[in-house]
Amino acid sequence: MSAAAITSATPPAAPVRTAPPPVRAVRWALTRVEGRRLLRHPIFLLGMALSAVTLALMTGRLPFGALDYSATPSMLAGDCFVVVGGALWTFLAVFLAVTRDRRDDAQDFYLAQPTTARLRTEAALLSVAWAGMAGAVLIALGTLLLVGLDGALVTDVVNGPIVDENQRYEVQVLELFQGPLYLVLAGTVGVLLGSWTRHVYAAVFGALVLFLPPVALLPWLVFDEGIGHGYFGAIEAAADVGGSAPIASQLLGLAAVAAAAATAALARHDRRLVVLVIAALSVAVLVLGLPAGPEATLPGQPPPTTP
Amino acid sequence: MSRTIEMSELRKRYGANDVVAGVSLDVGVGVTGLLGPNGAGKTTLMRMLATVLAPTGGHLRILGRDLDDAEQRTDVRRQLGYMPQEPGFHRHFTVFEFVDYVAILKEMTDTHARHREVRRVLERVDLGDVAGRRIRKLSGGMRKRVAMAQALLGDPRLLVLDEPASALDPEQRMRFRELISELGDGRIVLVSTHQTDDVAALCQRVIVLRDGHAAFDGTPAQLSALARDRVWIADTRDDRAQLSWRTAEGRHRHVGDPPLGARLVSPTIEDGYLLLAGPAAIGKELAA
Repeated sequence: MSAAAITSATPPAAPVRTAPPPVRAVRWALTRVEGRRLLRHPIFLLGMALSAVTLALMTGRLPFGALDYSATPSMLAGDCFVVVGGALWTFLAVFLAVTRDRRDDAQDFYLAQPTTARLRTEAALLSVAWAGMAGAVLIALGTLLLVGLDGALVTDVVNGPIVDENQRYEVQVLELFQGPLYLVLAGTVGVLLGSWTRHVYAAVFGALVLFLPPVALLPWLVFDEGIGHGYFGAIEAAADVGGSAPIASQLLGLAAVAAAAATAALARHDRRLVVLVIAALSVAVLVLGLPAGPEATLPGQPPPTTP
Repeated sequence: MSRTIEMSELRKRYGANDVVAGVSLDVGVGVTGLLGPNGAGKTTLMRMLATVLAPTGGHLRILGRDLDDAEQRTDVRRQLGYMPQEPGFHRHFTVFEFVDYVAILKEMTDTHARHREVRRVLERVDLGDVAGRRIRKLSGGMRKRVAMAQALLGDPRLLVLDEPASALDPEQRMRFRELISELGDGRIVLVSTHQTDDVAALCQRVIVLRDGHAAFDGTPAQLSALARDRVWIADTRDDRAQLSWRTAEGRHRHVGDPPLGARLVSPTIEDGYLLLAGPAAIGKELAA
């Protein structure tokens, strides 16, 4: 700053004071900022990169091979396999965003503002939709690469991709929501943990519980196969397991878990919401606990034998 | 609308310790300085006035609003600019991003108008050129100015500035004085500081806090006058003085009860403050 600047500075006009805007306008402005920051967050980008690499592996777009083609459609959409990497890092990125005021010791800036902590939590919850949209783009791209617009299945992803005109896979619209919803769920759990604790070790513990496969399999071991399936979104080859009903129930289950997590995050500011948390969790357990239906098959494969 | 802060027996207790122990003051338009030694309760009082901290006891009304009522508290926050003492920053935000984020928290939802306002306040603190720089790359003084910029958002009627001039170089301090004195026109500006010369240059009124109490409330001239006939200069240190220090000329300036024949000098606001906030015995004597 120069001395001239000190003496000649002319203050610009101050804004005209107006009535406070509606709460929803503030919530939306915060949501947009948080959503954009999430999409640019290095950790989230790392997760998306991991998911993209997984996608490339599955579709044979990388030189070192691919997974068994027969599993790919369900792993892309049904199993949420592609987005598991992205979900882990989405969870961490959202956790860090939600706890930044406490980790950076910047709370005094926030506490003196008319916008409440609850509104900030609501915005953080809504901002995870941005992660869901990124996941939707990824899943849509993967589906196009694997199945194509006409439903012809890519069979030889190692040397190909070679399209087998005799094998067709009918992608159902609901399937495409599973991966994005899984990202939204991961982000919502990030908001939940971040609302209640700022400690990074809580996030690491949460990540282990939620995303490390052996630990994540615990519900499957403890309860039954249905929960394990629901957790991972394992509705295989939906066309052969009774149309959209199993997918819809699994989507409902994931949405119920996300709703429970979101409500539990908001309960940080309003303890009366605990009742709603319990209700949403009950729905989730009921829906995800239902049997996933008969084991799926791909067209052209024999149906599973029942002992 | 009332344009005052009214405190009545305001208290804040942590455990068994009354950090603010019954402060009763009215603060009106203009720049009011808050002086006090470390631990006197300045920052706690400032945080209560900034609605960040709830009082343990007493009553506090700001701009005619009762802070016990959530809606009225929110209304106060809409008219408040607060600069914390040692704020933490989101180091990976740019200067613009951070101030813009606070602007949203101040309910500025129109993007164009908000960005215009963010640019305005950054210009006010001479940070327009570094708006795109990440906060982690800023010096301590520049970060202070970021904190000041966010406090100016929305042209608030009440400014609570906790040690705004610390970490600033002399040129920046001069700029801050100019800015704060401008802001004092038509607004309530409360400035907490350790710098008695800032108080002398800026404030129409000064309050000295000691042990959680308001030990003095008056003008800077009245604070200086507390040390009238109690400051003397000598070639050597006089152990009878309550406080003494060596001046740039190599002589000793003493504050306390002067010996007979001492060469008395005009007191400054610092002398008055030191007498008041120094050893408890001096304070009690003055109070008596």
